[in-house]
Amino acid sequence: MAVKIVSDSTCDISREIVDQFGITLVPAYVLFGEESFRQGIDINPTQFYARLQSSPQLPSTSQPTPRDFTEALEPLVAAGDQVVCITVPQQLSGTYNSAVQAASQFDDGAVTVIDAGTASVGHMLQVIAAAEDAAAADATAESVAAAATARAASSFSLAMVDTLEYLQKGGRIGKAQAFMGSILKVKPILKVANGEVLPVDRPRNLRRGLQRLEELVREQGGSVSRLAVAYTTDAGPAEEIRNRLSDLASPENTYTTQVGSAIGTHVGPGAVAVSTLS
Amino acid sequence: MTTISTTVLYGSDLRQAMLGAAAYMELYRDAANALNVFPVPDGDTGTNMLLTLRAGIEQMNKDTDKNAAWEVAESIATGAFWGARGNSGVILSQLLRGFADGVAGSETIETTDAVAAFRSATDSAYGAVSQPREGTMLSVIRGASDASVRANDAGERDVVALWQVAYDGAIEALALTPEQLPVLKEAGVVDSGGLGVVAIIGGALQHLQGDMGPAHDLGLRSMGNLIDPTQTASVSIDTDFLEAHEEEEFGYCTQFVIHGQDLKVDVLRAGLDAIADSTVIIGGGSAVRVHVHTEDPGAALTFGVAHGDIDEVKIDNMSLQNRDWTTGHRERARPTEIRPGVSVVAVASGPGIAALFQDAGCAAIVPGGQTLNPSASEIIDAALSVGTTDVIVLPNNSNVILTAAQAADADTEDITLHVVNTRSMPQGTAAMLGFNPEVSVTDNLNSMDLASASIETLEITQAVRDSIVDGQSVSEGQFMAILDGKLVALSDDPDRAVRDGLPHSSVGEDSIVTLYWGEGANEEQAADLQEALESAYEGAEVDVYAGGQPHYPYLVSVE
Repeated sequence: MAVKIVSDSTCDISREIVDQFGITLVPAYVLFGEESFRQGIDINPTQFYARLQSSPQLPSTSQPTPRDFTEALEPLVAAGDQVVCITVPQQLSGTYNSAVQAASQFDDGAVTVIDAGTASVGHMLQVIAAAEDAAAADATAESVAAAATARAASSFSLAMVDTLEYLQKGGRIGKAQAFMGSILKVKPILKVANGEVLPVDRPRNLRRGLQRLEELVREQGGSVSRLAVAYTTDAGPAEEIRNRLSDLASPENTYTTQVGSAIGTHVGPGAVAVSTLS
Repeated sequence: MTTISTTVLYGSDLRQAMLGAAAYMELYRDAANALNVFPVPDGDTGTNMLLTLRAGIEQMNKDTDKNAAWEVAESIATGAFWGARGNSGVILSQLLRGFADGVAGSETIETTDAVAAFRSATDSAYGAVSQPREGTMLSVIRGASDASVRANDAGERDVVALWQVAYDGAIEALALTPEQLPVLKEAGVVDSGGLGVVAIIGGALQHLQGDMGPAHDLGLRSMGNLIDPTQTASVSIDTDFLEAHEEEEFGYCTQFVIHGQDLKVDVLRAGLDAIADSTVIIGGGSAVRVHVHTEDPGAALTFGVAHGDIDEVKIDNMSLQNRDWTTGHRERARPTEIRPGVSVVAVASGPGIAALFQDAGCAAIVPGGQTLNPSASEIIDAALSVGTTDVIVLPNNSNVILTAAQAADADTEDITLHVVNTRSMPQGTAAMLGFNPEVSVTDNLNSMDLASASIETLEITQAVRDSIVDGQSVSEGQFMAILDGKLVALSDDPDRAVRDGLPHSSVGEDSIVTLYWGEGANEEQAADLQEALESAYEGAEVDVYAGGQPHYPYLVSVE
């Protein structure tokens, strides 16, 4: 009997890490009109952004169904494993509810569902940390879930976007609405924590924005063990952030990833994100 | 002049004195305006002082049942407080506040009361500014106060005679201002606000002496070239204005600015009087501000359009407003619910700039800033209209900072006003980008302050007259490049002024240069300038926006 980690695909985790830890990913859907794609299965990021920028209509996203979760959980539970499932925040998606509904079909304690509180890179770091916990010899579902819950409470992702239009159109803008201005060409920085999308700052250009992101990460303080950066279409700025913060975490605990179709639909091209975990 | 000794002044005397003060302030308004050392078309001292006085008179005329001397003084101070415009207006309003405090409780004013009033007026005026300087209207009111003390000590019991001594003291102090303030000496003028104080005390004296006729020369020309005599003209007291404001208000309060050529106040007033009441017209030449009460605002606007381009239109339905003044503050139209939170109100002129502030999340705009400084009351009205418990005011002009501070000091009950001291429109924009409604007001004040301090502002405007600034002679019509208040370049061409002025800033390859073009420039010109700057400062980002601001072809920020 082992503890297994399940997540939805919006955590933008790489295939290598998924394989390394035996993590199960449940794909989110992206729809271009009538056409539906499963993230990471039917459409990869390169294909997605090419289509996003050429499609006359904006895509929409759809959460995995309870059935999708059930199908992912069944073989694990059948094998006698205990499952900790970490999902994108319930304020931003129905994914958590789908997972909870699926979990209720199994015995009590077989599946624990945890709301990550944040999205993308912040979510990813939690999944990785939980997977490492689960791999420990003395791991129990309770201990893995307790540690994951504690991390979720203090976890964050900072994102700098080219425009807030995608968040606005996707209905996920939340309190960042306050930064909706479009006359001055600013690069809004947002924070996703405790399930909320919050406005943070409005640097005038990319260069100032990267500088500001670095400051904001350092202001979080605490001992950092892991660092993750992500981008939608341009890896350069993400690499710069990674380099600026390279003193915070060892190379093996530093991750660069490309944001997939689910979060990509809501942040659009030109976005960059960063997160740390203590 | 007067042979009968006057030992006491009654409230009615004070009313008359105030009308005299306003009449002479009007007479010397243009002269005071012309004395602004920096020849920019900004914040006219004379106009601001006149409008502040008129706000005091308006309140005095409303309070028909308050006739004790202290009550009249109190009404004047209250009205002036809310109506204060520009730094000089704020200082004047504090002077009037001090005067009222000096006679608090006195039914009548005897010499000892007058001395106390002048003294208190002086203290209060000095208290209005954080770093009082000699050679300004402050030293002029002190000159009056000191002279009155000496006269009283010498046994003078005739209060009008004492007032005469105070007036003489004010003139003496005014004549000293060029010796006290080098910039005045260099420009060869006396202090403009000081002239206003002299006109006010002198005008009051004329009426106290029974000379109620048209305002006439106060004999200040003895100061020679220090006051330009061509700038004064004989006018009679604007009784239309005073009487109109005693009437019950009805219909629509309609305000707008006309931009045109050779705008004649007389002609405009005559035309507007035919269709509206309570006509007040300020300015002249290329821009006037119109304030009328009318049942048909459309007719007033049509009249305005016939004389030029109109802007900053504001129409209020007076019958929907409870405009009564109560115990020191006004009942205002305000949202039914005040929610906890923080929002921003900005003073801005120019449609592009106003739009930019609103787009960036500014809850309300107070029109004006350049030339037409808003009153404390206008700032408060805007702040109260937004419906949050905390409101941050961006004055965006150095001549509006004191007014904003005055607004923040006013009793606004459950709403607290805060001020970030932005001295220019680009500073205001930077502050606006530092605003985040999701964080506390303290955090906002810190980040907005930091953001506004992180930029330099280069302003390009045309000199309104010949002058000497910082040792450089400036000819009327030349474009001045002013970097954070300091003249750094002069040119006959506004684009050239930008290019010559920028090297004085910290501009470099990492800079963001933002160009707001306004009246006197156009889009094509701005695009050419952008290109020139991009090649001059390789690596710098140069952004261009249509600001539409009056008087300033370019406002530039460097960050």
